[in-house]
Amino acid sequence: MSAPLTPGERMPELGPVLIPVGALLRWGAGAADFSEIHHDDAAAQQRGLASAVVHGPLQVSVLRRLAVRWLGTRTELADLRATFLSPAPVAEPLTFAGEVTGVAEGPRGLQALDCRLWAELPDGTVTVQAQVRFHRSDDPSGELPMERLRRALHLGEVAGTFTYPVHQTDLDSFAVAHGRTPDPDGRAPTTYFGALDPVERRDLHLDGFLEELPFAKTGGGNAFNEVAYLRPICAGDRITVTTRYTEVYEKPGSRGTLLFRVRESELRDETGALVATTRCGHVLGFDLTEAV
Amino acid sequence: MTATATQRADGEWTALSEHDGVRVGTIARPRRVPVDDRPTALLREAVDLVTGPDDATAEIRLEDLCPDPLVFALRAGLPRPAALGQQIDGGSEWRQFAPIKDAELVAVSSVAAIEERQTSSRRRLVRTVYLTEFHSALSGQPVGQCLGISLDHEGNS
Repeated sequence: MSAPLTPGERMPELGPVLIPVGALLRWGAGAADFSEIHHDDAAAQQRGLASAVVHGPLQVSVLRRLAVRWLGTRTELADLRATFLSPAPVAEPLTFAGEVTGVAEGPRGLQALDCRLWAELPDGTVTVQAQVRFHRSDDPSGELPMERLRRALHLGEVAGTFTYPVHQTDLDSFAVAHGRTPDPDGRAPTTYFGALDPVERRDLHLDGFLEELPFAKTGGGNAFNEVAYLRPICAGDRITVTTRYTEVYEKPGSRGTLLFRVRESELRDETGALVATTRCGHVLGFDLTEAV
Repeated sequence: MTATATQRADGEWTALSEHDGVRVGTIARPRRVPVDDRPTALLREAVDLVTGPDDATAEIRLEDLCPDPLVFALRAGLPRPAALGQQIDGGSEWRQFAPIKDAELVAVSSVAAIEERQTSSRRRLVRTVYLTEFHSALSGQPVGQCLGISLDHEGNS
């Protein structure tokens, strides 16, 4: 598990180091930056610089490499904004440094780490400064990331509220899809409650990262759907659905470890009157012994 | 010639529509960008020479394909203003939305903004912001975007 970090914590410094000529040449070739200001003092002076200068993006890449090395492999870079503040003469050594400036909750249950990274000359002049946001996981190895999943789903809290108008054409299409005749009075069949599930409609998608876990998937699908309704849904209704995730648990199954996520929804009409409550469970199976 | 609003004296940036014949909104022709290991290997070797080699095999990221967003946009054919005394690189931004899984991306570069302010030494400073958006060549889905900033400023006179 990655060690927790707090604001003010410093990245191990690198330097002072002279940027080798080989690094400048390789960077220029790789970035297709053949400007002479990076290796020819006279050309740099014609551009108003004191001498040849190190590529700004090369300094940024060094900082990025050092930060990822510091934060660990379970860190992904989300956003990087670099400002080139002062020329970095090729003949002067640079020191690369950084610190954590903020820790917050990130997407998908990840930790969001804000860092400031910089390169500076021996006199303290900062040549490049970068504001970087990393997303960091604390997933245990060889296990399902239950804690991260609980954070991502915000158990017990409102995960989303969505309003769905119910048109007669929706009910007609639904009936055709199920090989039935539409109700002549415009009432939706009981199964239509499931059609207003924001998760099934892909309007609410908080656990998509489960698809990217490094384990072989052995199956998945709906585990159960329960509906308790006070009246039928009818054409002309505008149904507002409020969904909360309530449980996350795992248990062994014949096809590996089964991961259940349970959600409950309230369905209300335009007057705010409760129309139905639903409770749905979804299961995904993983073979934790087989990494992918 | 710069088309400009009245310059503020407080050092804040003022938006321009044009500077030195370069106009906001100018778009370069879309370019296909192969997700090529060779330039990336050179870039990583350059960093290796400073930091020492990395053991981990990192995935290719937008920063690898577009290491210098300003150079990238200029090579797409966008013009760079040079009306004042000195032109330097102002900074870069990278934002990646999705992992790079395709063998090819499509990149579209444009002049996103031109802004002017006065420096503390009361010299004109104009920055041109170049935006490059990357999409999957297969699905068209956005992959990420980069900003490169060029500064054009009055030198010592």
